[in-house]
Amino acid sequence: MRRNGKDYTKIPKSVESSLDQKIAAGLAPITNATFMHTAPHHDDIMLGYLPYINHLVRTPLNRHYFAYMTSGFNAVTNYYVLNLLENLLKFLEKPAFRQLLEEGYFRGRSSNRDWDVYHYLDGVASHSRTIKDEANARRLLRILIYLYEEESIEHLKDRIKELVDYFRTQYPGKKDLAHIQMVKGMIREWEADLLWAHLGFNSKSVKHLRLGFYKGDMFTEDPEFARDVRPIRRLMEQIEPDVVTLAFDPEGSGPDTHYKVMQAIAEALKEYLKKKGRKAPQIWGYRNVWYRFHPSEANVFVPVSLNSMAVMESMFMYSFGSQRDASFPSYELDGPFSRLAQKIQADQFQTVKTCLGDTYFNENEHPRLRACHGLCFIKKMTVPEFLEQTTALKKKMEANQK
Amino acid sequence: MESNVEKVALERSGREFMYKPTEKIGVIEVDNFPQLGKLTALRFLEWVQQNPDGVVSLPTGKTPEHFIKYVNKYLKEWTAAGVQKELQLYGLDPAKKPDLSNLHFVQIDEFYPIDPNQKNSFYYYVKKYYIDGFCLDPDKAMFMNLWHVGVPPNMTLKDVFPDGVVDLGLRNRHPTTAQEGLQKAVIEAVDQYCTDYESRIRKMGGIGFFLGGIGPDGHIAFNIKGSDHYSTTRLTATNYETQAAAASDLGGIEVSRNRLVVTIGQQTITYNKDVTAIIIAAGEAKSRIVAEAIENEKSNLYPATILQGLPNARFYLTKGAASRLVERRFVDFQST
Repeated sequence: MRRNGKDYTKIPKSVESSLDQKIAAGLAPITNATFMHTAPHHDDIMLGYLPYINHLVRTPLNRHYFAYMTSGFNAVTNYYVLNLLENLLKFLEKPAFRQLLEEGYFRGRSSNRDWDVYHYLDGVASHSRTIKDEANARRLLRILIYLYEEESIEHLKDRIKELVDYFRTQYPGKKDLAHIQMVKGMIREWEADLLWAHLGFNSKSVKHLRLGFYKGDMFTEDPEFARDVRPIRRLMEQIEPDVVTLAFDPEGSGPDTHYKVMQAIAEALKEYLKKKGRKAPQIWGYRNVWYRFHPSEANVFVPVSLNSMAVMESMFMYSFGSQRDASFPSYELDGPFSRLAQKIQADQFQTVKTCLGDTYFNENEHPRLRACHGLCFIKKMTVPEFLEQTTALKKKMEANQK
Repeated sequence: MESNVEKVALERSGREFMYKPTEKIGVIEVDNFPQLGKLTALRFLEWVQQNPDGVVSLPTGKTPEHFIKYVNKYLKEWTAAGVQKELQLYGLDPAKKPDLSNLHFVQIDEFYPIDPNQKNSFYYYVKKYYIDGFCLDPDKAMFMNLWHVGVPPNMTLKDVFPDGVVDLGLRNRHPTTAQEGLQKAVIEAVDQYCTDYESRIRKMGGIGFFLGGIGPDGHIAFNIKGSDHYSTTRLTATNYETQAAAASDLGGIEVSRNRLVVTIGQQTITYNKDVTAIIIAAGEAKSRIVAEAIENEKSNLYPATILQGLPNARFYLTKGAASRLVERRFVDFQST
């Protein structure tokens, strides 16, 4: 400012006012809205803005759908699946478990998929490792019955032994066969089911799209219309969302799955809005552990309390068994992503607090601001604002592919 | 600046090449990740037109995705009207399609130990994307294939290091078992291999075109934070940041924590003072380490500062990756 020589005395007031408005936007209640929360991977939504969701779900007048675009199998280690398989083999020998099979627990009624979830959360509530292990075994068996179209317990045991052999002999990091990717991906789907069941959402609300561009190759394919865009558009048609959230990476420099999913959603939105009379949803861009907003980029700051941080930690650790040991951690923190997300929220809060002063938060009339120790940053956009950024990138990417 | 490609890209960016005295290495900014690949590909092809039998080192991993795609696109469609127009625009000679088969290729780094046939080895990567992909001559390439180096006949590296753990302490102590004796001999052979690798690079006059990413700790090649600026090709350990970044390649940090690396050194990169050394980085996540490399005085803590003072060293950055360069922020601030 000294070098520039201009009068910047008005800037502090204008920054304060801008930050105040962004915080007010994060506190504003939202009701009667249908949310389509989307994510490239299964932990992206919760790491991006779970503290916001904690408030949005309090009114039953809001409807929430959680749509996972890829099956995220790359983040599941062979070692983790091996442990789950060995756990399943153990339960297959137990009379009670075999009785479930005979009663047709794994057949027909799709709602039983949710029963696995409730069983696991009962185990969480009662601190019972046995119940959680049994629920893990139930879901893994359900996955294998689905994949192999096989219900004979003896035949399934053979399959499980084949899988055990596979995971014991493959070198870590090798691209898996398609059916192994499915097993790993469905384990991550199970974890997302567990996550949202904490807040009362079941399989009617949690959608797994398994977009085909995600194949585990060194360079991910670009989304294709029929394969990757159409499933998203169909879901939009079913849900008719007022809000669509997405991992927002217009520079295309975060994990490549993130911006490829963003492109697919942008195309789906354009298709969805072609039909007359459809209301354009508001777009909420979020970022999390790989890529974050500068405070000036985001326009909504959601206050995060210690309570919300504890909820995030607990939900992450109980739900994401494959991520608990942080086999693919960030270079920023040697630990689970929930810890890093909390650190980012705390850092963002400190940045804003530096601008607004301690008094703003410590003596604020709003209890949520007195309890605030972190901030989630969100960028809310209109569809044209969102498309303006994605279209430019898409053109450049298309030119690259030609 | 001698490169037409860089002149055009710089003009399009609306920025200066270097905001002195804060910035100590030149920077060219682009809008996004694909554009970064395009600029790099054009600069590479321009360099090859001028140095058809030069020595090149190209990176592995996901960062060069668009670089690889653009080079392949340009080579495949060299005579297409659209490509010809673009080449002209960037000052390349459209009549002179680069022939990459006379280039000498130098592999930058590799995990150790690793079976080179594994698809997550860098040896596999460079063979697939550069030797086969760019039609380079494998006989003119230097690979880091250490699977049999120092290993007795009828054995593999897996027999020598069954759990993949290599104790570099064996360099300085007596082995206590026959297995450790074998391991010590292999480590010594690898050390010699590295010295020979370095000598071969120097005999060629050093590296003429070096393209690399920058790691989360600022590493270039596997020269991690704290590496000696006079380092040469060597077998060495990594730090947590590098292990975390390598976890996805190796199937988990449980594996990458125990894996060593062989890497060319910082002096290997700068041995040829005329080297065209380009570091590419995309995204806000890299902005801090990029700023530290460009704005700090030379320091072991910032490995890329070794490029300061080299006339043809550059950073090609997306806007996000350049966002913490303080003079550029000042310029942006002034214009608001």
